[in-house]
Amino acid sequence: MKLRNLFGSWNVQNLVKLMALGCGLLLALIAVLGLAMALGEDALEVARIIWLGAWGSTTALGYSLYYATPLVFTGLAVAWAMRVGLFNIGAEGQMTMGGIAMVALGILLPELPSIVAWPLTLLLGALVGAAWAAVPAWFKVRRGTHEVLVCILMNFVAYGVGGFLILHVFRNPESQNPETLAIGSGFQWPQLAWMGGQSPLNATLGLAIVIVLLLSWLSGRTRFGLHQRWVGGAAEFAERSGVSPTRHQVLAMLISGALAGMAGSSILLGYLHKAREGFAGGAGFIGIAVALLGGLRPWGVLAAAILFGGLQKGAIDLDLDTEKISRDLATVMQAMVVVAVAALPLLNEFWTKRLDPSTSWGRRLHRWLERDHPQGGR
Amino acid sequence: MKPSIVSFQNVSKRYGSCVSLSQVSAEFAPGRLHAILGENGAGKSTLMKVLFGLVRADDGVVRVEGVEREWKSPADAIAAGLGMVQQHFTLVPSLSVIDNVMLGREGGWHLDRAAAIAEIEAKLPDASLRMDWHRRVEELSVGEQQRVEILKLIARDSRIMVLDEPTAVLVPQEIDALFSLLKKLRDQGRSVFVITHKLSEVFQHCDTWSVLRLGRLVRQGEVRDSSLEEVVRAMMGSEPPPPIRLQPRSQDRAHIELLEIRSLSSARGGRGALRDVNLKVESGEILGIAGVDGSGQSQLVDAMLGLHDVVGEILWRGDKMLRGRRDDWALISEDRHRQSLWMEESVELNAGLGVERQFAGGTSASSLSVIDYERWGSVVAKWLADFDVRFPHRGERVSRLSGGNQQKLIFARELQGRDVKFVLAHQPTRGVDLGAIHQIHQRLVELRDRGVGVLLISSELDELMALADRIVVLESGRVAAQFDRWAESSKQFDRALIGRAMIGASV
Repeated sequence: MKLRNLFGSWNVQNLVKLMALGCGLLLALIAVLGLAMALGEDALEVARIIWLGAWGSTTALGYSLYYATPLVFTGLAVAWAMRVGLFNIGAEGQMTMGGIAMVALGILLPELPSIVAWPLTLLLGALVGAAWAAVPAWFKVRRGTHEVLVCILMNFVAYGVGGFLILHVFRNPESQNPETLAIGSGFQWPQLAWMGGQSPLNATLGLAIVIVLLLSWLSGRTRFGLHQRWVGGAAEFAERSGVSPTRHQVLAMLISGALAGMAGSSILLGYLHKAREGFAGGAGFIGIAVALLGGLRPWGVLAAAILFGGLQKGAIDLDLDTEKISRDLATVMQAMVVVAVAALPLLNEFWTKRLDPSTSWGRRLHRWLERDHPQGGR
Repeated sequence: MKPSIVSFQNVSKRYGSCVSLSQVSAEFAPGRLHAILGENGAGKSTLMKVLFGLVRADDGVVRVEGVEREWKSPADAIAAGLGMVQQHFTLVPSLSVIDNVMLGREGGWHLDRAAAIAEIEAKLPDASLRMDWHRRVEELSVGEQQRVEILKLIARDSRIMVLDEPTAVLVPQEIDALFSLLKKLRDQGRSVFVITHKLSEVFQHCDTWSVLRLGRLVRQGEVRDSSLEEVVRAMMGSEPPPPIRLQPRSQDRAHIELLEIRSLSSARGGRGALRDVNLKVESGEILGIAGVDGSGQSQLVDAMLGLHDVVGEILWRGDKMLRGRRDDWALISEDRHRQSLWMEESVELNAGLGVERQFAGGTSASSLSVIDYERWGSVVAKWLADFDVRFPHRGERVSRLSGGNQQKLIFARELQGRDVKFVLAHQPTRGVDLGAIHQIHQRLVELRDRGVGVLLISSELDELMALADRIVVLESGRVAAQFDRWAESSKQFDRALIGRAMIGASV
């Protein structure tokens, strides 16, 4: 497969963005290592632990990918809405409600065989997530309330309702932990031991990749995908061409909610086989950073989620292997990446200047792209 | 000869790879009315911004009253006696006229409005320029707001005044009033620079002209020694095209009624809210809508596109129209950056957006149909070539094209991507260079001659006088008057009469 097919659209701007991103991540890494040195740790040692902790063995890689899986879903959820011009900060709540719905089905109908149970749970999770997102969408288009406001409120509602369902309706009375009964065996997704060693990595990663493929096709190939992005990029133009921004914004929010609603599948259906209070663990919010880092594109989100999963695993190893560094460093590293993303426009400008057609490198680059890429910028 | 009040020597300015000014050298005499001419992007605004300290030149020397100057900020320039009226006014709408005039030079805690009024009135060239000092700026017309901007400069004792496209927003009568004010200021000994692209104003009112093209100063001259052709040639860099002559409507074909608007009223838009508007557009004619900006033009377009709820009826070929835009309409929107283009995207994508159904299986296309981007690319490449759109490569962002090329791209898409029966063109030549304007005018006349109905909304009366078969004047949302070029018995198709109707005078 040629490089440009992999990235869907491929032109100078994208290359500039990618180079800017590389610089940003490098700066973030330097900042984190500087912090470690300030704490009195050996920077090289810290870097080694993070690197090996994240990808050093099958089990390490498995953990990284396991941590990455929910982030793929929430990252896609945030990214899709954002390309249509909406900020879905409610992925956390949508993930919580969708996850509990999936587990509830597994508790109530434990006998179902996998062939029915898997699609049914995913469908239910997606529907409940979409329903949770429909509330801010409705307020947005009917009342003009900003979606961020309603999304945040819906997150609080989800914590409350979710906690109630887990602790009072589906609670496992025999357990000391705040968790539900177990789901039927037909609902459980298989482990991927060949790939993830001793880690909880499971087949929902495959599901995530299938969804990445699907969204990439939907966004980059179909009229619907084009109209969605069009509304996000030039709403007034779209409206005057007969493409309704209102309708597309509602649809985008529902799609986003559906994606977030399925985000708990890896934790709940693939590993725990039950729901624990607070299982979402902030994945909905980290999804925002993943979406931004991934450039709001499905394949980019997948890559960013894997990076974030690796950072999370690396930081846990640091916690165990060093004296002064706790696993909170994962948060710091992720924050540094977000800062790097926020600095992208600056770096973008830098590279745009470097690769401008008036420079010798720019000329060469443009010639190459023109020859090799008949579709131009898309 | 008197020494120059402003002189430029080899002034250059680059933005990235884009040359905005290149080795501009020019001298300007004091106490005169200078016109700075040029197409969009020729560098005329940039040159004046260099003079005023808003833009710092990369190279070259600027002398003001013989002294070499390098401003750190516009504040230095103001202190040295320069003043500039930007194209977009910098007034505080909720404050009164005198407060706006005083703003920035209040002096101390106590606002002494009476003293400020006395001071400014003493400085006015004559008493007719007095205003109602206590009215709020938001209640003023555009022409009056512009006068407030000029009063600000007078209050600051600006000896050198620069006005950036001051007539773009004015009706003919206001334009005359503006220039008579500028002439009075000139007669007080001030030097006035007017950036414009309207040649008629230059020849009626200004003393000298200077033409910039592609960042270079092409020619300068005295208005009284020059011909119009000479200036146009300098601006375009080539022979000016022959003027368009509208032929009488052909009688070979029956003219059917395409669009009819019956007693249309809208609630939105304030002064521009539509009030009982009736219009008809036949096939093979250009109906011009004249009027000051904000007289209901935007509301009319929005109503026809079904964007707002309105009272009244819009009929298409005698049938009540469904909400929304028809596929056989070409739409040239007023604000092309927001309403006709997706600025961050490529030339190629923009050239097919909205008409992409044909790249996704034609009429049977559903929203999940896959778009054939290869075909999209090859089809729009032909459209763009046919309409002479110039761009570096097809992946280039459309925002980097010139205004004229953007507008030509929009015409290429709207006219070739659809089976056009009707064209709705709102300010199609605003911010477009002369060469492109000529091409656009030709297109519209060609369409008319082919039997397409055209509704042309423009605040440039000259444009309508050249192109329209009939003109309807909108004023405060209602139809104030109608003029027919071909009818013998009707009111004269006369520029002055139409101009009067635009400002609400009875005709």
